Amino acid sequence: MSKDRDTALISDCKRGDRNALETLVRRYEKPIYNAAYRMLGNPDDAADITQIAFLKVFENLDRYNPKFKLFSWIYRIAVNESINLLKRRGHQEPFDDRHASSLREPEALAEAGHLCDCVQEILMELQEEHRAVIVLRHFTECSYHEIGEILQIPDKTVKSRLYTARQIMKDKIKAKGLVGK
Amino acid sequence: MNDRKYIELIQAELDNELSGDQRAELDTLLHESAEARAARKDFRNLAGLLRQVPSRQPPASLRQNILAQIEIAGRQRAAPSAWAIPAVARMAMAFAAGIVVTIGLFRLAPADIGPIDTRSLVGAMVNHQALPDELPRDRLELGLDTVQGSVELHRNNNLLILEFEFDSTGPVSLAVDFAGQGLQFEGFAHQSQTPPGLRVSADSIAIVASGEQSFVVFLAYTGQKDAGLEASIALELQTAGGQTHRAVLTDR
Repeated sequence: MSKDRDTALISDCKRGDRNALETLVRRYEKPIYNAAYRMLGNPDDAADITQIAFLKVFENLDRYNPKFKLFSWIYRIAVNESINLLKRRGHQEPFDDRHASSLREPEALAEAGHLCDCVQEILMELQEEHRAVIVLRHFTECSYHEIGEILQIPDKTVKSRLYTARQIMKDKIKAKGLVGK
Repeated sequence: MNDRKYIELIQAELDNELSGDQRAELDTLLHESAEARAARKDFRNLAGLLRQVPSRQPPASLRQNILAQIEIAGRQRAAPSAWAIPAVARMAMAFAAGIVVTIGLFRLAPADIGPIDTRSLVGAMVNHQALPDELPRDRLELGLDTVQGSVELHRNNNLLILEFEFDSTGPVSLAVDFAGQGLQFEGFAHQSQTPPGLRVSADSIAIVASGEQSFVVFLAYTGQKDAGLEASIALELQTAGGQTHRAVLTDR
């Protein structure tokens, strides 16, 4: 994502430009929704968190620091809100797979649906801090530095959490008999 | 063999964070160690699996919900804070909510029915001694994951008062349907930091709200006061994610 273009969009949004706002939402709606879904395992909660994240961005536009990337800021809100939601509930929600495999009819899609379910189940078994680094690295393709900026932790901690999370995940994947391509 | 070293380099390779020198070092370690090669295979397998997981499509309504919420929030930022309040509404507010500090209320003539701009809201202080307390005619508890609170239905002569008190972790849409019940919209008041958005039609009201909310909807019987007048009001609550909950409140 271009930082300059985002900065220009933010300026336009501050001036009340609705098109700029719509462009910003269109640009980040899907990645934020997906990150929230991987954190929460529930499509309805993911939609709620996406909405909250954008509202918070809008409400704090005046405080946006252009030194940081816009997407880092939105992801930070979305990840933190997701973790807060999980903490408020005080327990891990069972993975909601009502919609996860809705496209299962053809064989290939059935396989993909099964894989999605299994991966999401494994993600939900991770601690939130480990899940967050996996989501940001593998589902949003953030660098160590970007993950550190989003989670406000040093790069070294990012690396160590990623390693721990991957160790846990690969053991669980082996136990489930899943094989990657 | 330094396990930590090859693990660190394999991770960096996986994450495209490997420098030229590290590349050479990893190649040497992989060449020398079957253990390192096995570990690399496992981590690559994991990364491959995660790559195969397709991204999800957000709900079709999500973008419009986000934009609507932002527009409402924008209008509320510009909204004025304190004005006068009609006498009937003061009484109703006191009746419904005890001590009430309103920052918004308006009345609407039937001919004016249509979208409402919340900037026109008015409000004032109301003393709860104005009318005696009374048990609600009906009550609904909201005990959802994202919305906690209650809705109470009160009545004062020909006036029905729907009192909403809830706290939501995300935006919620509420539909109040009174079609065919001999009722008309009479007014609205709130005491929320972030006032809800409102849209009124002849026989229903749509409300969008989030966070801590306390507001009242007034409906009036269109016929004369009669012991036989009893209305059922259908409520539909929808979270941003599309979860829908329905209930009916009855003027018993």
